[in-house]
Amino acid sequence: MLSLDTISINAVSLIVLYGIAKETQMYFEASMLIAMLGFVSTVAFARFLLRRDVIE
Amino acid sequence: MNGTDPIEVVVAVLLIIGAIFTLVGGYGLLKLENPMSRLHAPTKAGTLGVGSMLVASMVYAFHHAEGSLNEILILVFLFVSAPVSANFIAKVHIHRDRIGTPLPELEGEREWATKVKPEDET
Repeated sequence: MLSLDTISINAVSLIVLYGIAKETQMYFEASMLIAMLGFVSTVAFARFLLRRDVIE
Repeated sequence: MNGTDPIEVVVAVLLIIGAIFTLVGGYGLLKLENPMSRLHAPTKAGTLGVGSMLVASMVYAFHHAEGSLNEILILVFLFVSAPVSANFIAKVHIHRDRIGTPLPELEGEREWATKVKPEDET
């Protein structure tokens, strides 16, 4: 679970690196999406493990 | 290519710092032994590693095209959300008793705040 969080953060940095290599701003949106989804999925997974239910 | 651009040097140094922090974070995630101490290594990769890569991307964008401050958005979001998710992960580890050494006993009738169920408070 910690690794999943780290994977999403490292995916953000990889996509930023690819955006630098391609010299375009298009990949910014992709990394923003991955950052947000990574945070939301981490919180949802933690809530599921703690409470056995995501939305009560 | 003769005559190195100083901005490129700045970008390269920032990228190398980010890469080193990400590597250290991954190595610590693999090598530390119990989950609570493993939690602390990737936070360095999360904040300093990604942070310096985003700053490098901004500097590069300002140098080579019309730059934008979009990366600040990701930076602020990551800096705000990383402690929250780390707190959630730590709570999961405490509740599932995977913290290596158990939590010390408290005096009297008190209980660790994270283990008090919401029904007990009312």
